[in-house]
Amino acid sequence: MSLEEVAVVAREQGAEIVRLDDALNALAKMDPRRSQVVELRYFGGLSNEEIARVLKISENTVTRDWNLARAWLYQQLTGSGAN
Amino acid sequence: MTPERWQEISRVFKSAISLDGEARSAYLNRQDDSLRAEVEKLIDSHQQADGEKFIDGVAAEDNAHLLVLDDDSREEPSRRLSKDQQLGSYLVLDTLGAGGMGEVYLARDSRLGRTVALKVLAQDISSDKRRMQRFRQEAKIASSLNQPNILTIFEFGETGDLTFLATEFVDGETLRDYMHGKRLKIGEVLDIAIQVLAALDAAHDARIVHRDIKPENVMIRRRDRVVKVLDFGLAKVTERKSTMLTGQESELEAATEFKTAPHSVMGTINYMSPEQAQAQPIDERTDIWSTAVMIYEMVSGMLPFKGATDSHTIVQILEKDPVPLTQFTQLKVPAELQRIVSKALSKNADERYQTAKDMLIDLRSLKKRLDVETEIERTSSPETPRATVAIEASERRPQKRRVLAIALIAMALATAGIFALNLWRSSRTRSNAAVAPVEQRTLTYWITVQKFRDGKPYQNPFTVPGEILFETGYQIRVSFRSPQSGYLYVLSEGPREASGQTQFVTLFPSTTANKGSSLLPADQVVQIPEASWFRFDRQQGTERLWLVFSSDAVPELDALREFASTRTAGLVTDPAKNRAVQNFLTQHSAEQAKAEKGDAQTTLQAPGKLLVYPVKLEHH
Repeated sequence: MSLEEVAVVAREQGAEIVRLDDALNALAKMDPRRSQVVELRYFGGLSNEEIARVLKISENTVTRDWNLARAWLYQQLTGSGAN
Repeated sequence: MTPERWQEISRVFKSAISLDGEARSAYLNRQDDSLRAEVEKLIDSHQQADGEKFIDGVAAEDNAHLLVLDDDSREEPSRRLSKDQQLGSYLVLDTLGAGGMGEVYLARDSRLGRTVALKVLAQDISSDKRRMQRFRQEAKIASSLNQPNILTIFEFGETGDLTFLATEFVDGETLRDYMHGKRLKIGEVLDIAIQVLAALDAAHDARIVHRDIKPENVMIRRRDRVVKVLDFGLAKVTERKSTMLTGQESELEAATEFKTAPHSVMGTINYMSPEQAQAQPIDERTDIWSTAVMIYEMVSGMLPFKGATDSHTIVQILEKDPVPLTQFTQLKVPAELQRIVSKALSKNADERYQTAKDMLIDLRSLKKRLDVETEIERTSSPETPRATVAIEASERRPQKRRVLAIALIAMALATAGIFALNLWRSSRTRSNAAVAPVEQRTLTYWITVQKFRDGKPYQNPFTVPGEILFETGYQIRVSFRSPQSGYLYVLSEGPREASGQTQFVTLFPSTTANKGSSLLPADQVVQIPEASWFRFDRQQGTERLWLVFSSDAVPELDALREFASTRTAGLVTDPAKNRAVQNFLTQHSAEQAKAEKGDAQTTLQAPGKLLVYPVKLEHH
């Protein structure tokens, strides 16, 4: 789908994903690998197994990275974080 | 938060989460207060995120409602229905899309309790009563055929000044989106083509010609990949006037009063048959042509007939034979498929398959043969078990989704008033995270030469360290490696156009090399071209390969990535981008890299963050 072919129904929900993108960028500054895990899984639709292969880490590490990164992103997006 | 602090938090989080109940409390109690508080909060968030299934799916799917197709990129059509609005017995649930023919909504039929797609036809189409009458008739007949690959039409309705069509709702995507500018595997192409032809076969039996077979009119259902052909009969009422043509109205068209409205939709002409392009009478065989164009596109990622303008395209449709699919050697297209496609693309309709059924039979037997061959290959080589196939299949999907996600994010950002894609891309390349700062850039390259005689390699390939003087029959590969990670771009300087502008061909990154990324990890070898050999254009005398190796991503060159596919053989077709590249190279080639020629390779060094170097490939 080219950009020309995509038009947007402007909606509130768009803002959510922009905020997630911002938070993900912030995470990348502190922790590139964990943000990459989120990127691959949520934006890329890769399974943990595939992510493990791409990043050359174990599947367990992917799961742990995912848990932490997601918890942190959740905190940022719901405003329950300390910073 | 500093990265060090984050490291500490993540370490404690990781340990804590692996413990439960009291062990976890005990462990956390041993940490200092602020650390414990932070980690406890994170664990809370972790549990809540779990419960809410926070970002549990895939972005593109979660946010699919943000995307709407506008397949002829006109201005956003006005939406005539809104959510929760009632239209007859239908309650509008959501907007699905908008195209030339009108808008499409997701709706609920309150009488039968089923979900339907509601297509509200554009005013200019629906205002012609006679055309509508005919459309209604054809659409009804087609859908009453009850063929599983034809989208079922439930109802044709009119309320007030709105004409609408209630159809089966297919949860899936159009073949256009499904292909997404990429090639499909042969097996998949056959699956899709066979289903399209099965739909056509049934329709043709009922004497209905689709007239507008194209990827936008083929849907692929998500859950089972069943193909549905849309809009039977609709083409007739929406087709545009063929102004570039003889001006002679065909008898058939005149007789049935299906002349097109002057302001009707401008469709794509790439799938039109020669007779269609000339506004001559058409029949079932036009659908056979269009299906073959689609097969060609699915296999090669390219359109068989595509000129700079519509008129050029028409000339190609009328006169040119497309490049045979078998010439895309890396695709391993079966000769039989080429035969089928080329027969279906006969300029003279009498030489084509005369019925969809005949073509269907040929495609089916080809598929059967390939399935058998695959089975034999699989059983005879236990070394390559099924898993490889599964991995291949699974690798295609995420990539596609990611691109979809990119488009999605880009558009979401655009609504936020930010200029989209570049920003998103550059934020995603994470230029500083992966590349360690160094005082100078170092890049090593070497050239492998293979002699060819009569199109076949002969003698063993040998390696030369640097620039090269070609002899007849030489073909080469160039390999690169660096002890540093960095952004690598390799371009070949193409023919100079009449305008005096140079065109560039992007060789690296490519969609297959390095997963399309320009970021090259340290000590990884890259070879160009990956699978074939680089041939020298004898006419030109000198060819140049530009090597750019940089600490930071170079936006001018990253922008070329869309040309890195085989679609245009890497040729950068956008003049503005060519200009930007030219400017970049001119600006930076003055500070040329130092080349040190070894026995087998040349090492280039340039102070600072950027290395730019032209490798000359000369002919005797």
